[in-house]
Amino acid sequence: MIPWLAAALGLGAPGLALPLYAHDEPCADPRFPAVAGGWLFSCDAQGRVAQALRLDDGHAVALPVAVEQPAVGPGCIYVPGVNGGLWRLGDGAPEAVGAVALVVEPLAAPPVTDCAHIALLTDTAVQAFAVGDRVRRSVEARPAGWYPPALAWPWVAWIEAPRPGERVLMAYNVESGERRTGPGVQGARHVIGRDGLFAWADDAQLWLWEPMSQAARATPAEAGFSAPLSLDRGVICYEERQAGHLDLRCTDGLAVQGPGHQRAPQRSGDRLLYREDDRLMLYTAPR
Amino acid sequence: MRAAGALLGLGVGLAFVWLDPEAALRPEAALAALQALGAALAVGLGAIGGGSALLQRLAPRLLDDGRGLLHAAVIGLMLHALLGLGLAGLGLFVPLGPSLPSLLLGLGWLSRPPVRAELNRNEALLIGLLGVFVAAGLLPALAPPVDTDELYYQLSLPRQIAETGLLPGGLLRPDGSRPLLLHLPFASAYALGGASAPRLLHLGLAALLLPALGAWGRALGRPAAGGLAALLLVGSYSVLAEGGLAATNLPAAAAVLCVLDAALRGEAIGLALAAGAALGLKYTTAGGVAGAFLVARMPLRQRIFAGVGALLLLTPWWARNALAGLHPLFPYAGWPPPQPGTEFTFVYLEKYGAGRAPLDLALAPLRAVMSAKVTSFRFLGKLSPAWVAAAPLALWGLLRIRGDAARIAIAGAIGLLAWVAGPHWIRHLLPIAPVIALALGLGVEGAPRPAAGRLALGLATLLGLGANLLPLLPALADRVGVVTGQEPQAAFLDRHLDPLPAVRFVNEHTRDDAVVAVFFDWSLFYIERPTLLGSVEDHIPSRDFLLRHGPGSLDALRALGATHVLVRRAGFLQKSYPFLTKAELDRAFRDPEAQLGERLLLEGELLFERHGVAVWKISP
Repeated sequence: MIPWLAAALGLGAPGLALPLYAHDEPCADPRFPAVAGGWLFSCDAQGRVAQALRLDDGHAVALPVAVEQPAVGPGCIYVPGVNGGLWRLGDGAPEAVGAVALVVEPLAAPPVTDCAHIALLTDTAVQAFAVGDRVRRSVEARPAGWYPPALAWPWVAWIEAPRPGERVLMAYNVESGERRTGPGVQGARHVIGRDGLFAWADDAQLWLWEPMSQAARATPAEAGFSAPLSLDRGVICYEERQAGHLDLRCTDGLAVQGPGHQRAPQRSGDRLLYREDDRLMLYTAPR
Repeated sequence: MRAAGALLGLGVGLAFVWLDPEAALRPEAALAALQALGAALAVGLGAIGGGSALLQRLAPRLLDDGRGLLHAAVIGLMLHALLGLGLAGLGLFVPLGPSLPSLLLGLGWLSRPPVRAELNRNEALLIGLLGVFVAAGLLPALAPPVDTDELYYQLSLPRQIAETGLLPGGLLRPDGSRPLLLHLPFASAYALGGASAPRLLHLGLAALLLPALGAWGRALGRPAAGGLAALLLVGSYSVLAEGGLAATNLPAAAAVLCVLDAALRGEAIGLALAAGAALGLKYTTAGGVAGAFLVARMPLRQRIFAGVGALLLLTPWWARNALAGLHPLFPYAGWPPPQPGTEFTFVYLEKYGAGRAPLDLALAPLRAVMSAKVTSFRFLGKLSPAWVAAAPLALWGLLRIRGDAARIAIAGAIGLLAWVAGPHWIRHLLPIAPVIALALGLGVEGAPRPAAGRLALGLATLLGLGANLLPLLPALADRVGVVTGQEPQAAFLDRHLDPLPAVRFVNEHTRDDAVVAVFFDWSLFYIERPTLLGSVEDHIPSRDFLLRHGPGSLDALRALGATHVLVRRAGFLQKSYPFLTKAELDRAFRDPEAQLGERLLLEGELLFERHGVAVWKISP
């Protein structure tokens, strides 16, 4: 597409927050609508994730299978099950990627994908595999339920519940079989992975962890109590619980605050998708 | 010889089920059904034994014919409940409640009471209708419960009583403060046979209505009247659909029929016992009970004696409330306003039926038949058009004949007027429905040409079958798989219950000592942790709690021991409450819900959410 035309068709403008009424249908899973790699995935009237919109140029795509809990990646969508598969999104219709291992067992949480790998949780195991690989690597686990796993290939991380009510971060190297416990002690929640890093929250701080080197950085924050964090190019965005209201803050200094609650941040480059009260909003950082 | 035949048939049948290579009926499903049936029979037969022994001493004439079985069952269940109340008061319900009341009442059979099942072989219509009623109730009774009222109240209370031995009640569980006349026998049945047992017990008790109507028709010299009354009932969706549920409407109908029978036979003690049972089952039977007292064939003094006796039978329940610091009639009276100087509306009468203007009230019975909807508050149910088709001819007949038929009609009319004055739900009409049906049946048979009335009634029933059966048949077909064991229970529940993923999360991912406060949701039956609150429809307990405690609601919950909150997005719509202004709707409905959402956002931690049902952790 011609660059100036694409820019004109793209959503948002620097320094402005605009409501996305056309993508505001409530989803069965409140972690949607979601942004991944410049694509906005939103729901139909039945609460299933059914459509995708490229934020840069407004190109809309109907997804081949509408489900409540797909895995969305940067320009792809993965749906487990016999009618499922992995599709790459582009200028035309979604393109199915062949040879994705068939998953039919019930999942404890939505799966995740980075478009080249897939990770998922059952009640008793964490599984991860490369697209095109028919063998699923599996490790025993007691996932806390509801929280999806996170991918920073070859590492996969998840929230483990050694006993009901307890939560710690666990990570597993799919290639070496090494298993590690994340820093922090208790109350881990909402792990997310990208670019070789994992981020999550616990009761007092945000964590950014590079599992290979075990380098960890903690940022004091009251965050992640009602919505997942967002991790994009090493920047964490999160809901911050202030006295009497919730605002959004990112570790690179970007913040959204105002009347009412700003919730559920999802960062993609200079864009930040979030909810203000019951409305879906898109904010573009000033240049 | 008969016993040998029964044993042979049972043995071969069970062997067939066990050995069937296609396992059409899985043995574990058959065994679960048999266990539930055994539990229901144990509680039901125990109650009948005790009830009939008592009646044999106090009002033996009531056991003279086929109506005696219904009298015995109603009185026996009331005795079971009073014994259960005593055991719970002594803290002994958990070890003794499931079996001791039935064992004690079952001793009544030793007195060889003359109670018997009576079905005249010539009454093919009645026998066929009984078969249809039981068959329609069996599948829902054996399937996992998904009915809103069962999950919130009719089965969750018995389950809670059976598991803890405690009787819930008060503002946090207002339904538990009603007289638990049916729920204590249900608790015993649940403890012995699981969720299907109370529903089979209910189905059996409701089924006894039909032969009792037949016996009454025969006793009045109009043997076909009972069959016609049964046709009116069984031809109606609202009656058929309720058979296989655990509910109080049809048992209350059985009790009202007993009240009227005792009143017309001049049995003051029987009248007192039955009236106590009817009012204990549902206070809304008061209209029908008052009608029976009015037409009773006994002097005023005896009626007063019977009335006082009936009220005495209710005093244990009233005393229980008073001892808990509540109004004796709580939750129907004495609900403390959540905020000083404000009123809290318990029932919005305008919400139901088709209006409350004088003309609307006059037309309500006609509209309840001709324009009711199964899925809307426009009467929320369906009746056979035969009720209307029978009315003119029955009225003609009733004007011609003398005796009990006219008195039955007057009692039915008073019950109907009471229904018109109350909420216009068809299910609230059910307790008086058999009396009205019997009056119509007697009237049709008393008309100069009964054949014309029978034809009108039959044709209208036939034409009404579509509207009355179509909502029911898909639901029955849907349950075949899970009842036979072909479909896993979890898959069946997943298809029917939106909150189930949240409930499953609570059961699998919270500590055993977690206490869950439930707001705007009714899935209490499936939550395997102690619960507080829960609510349906107008969500009175949830809203009352939030209005009462305001911004301190979560602190109040913590003080009560709650560690988690399960909350459904209620989203109260203005179109559901057109009689309220926006300000009224906001104040009473939306603001409390929004306030809870706000406090959870600021103080809680979201652990799970799907389909608008969320689980929050609120423990500090």
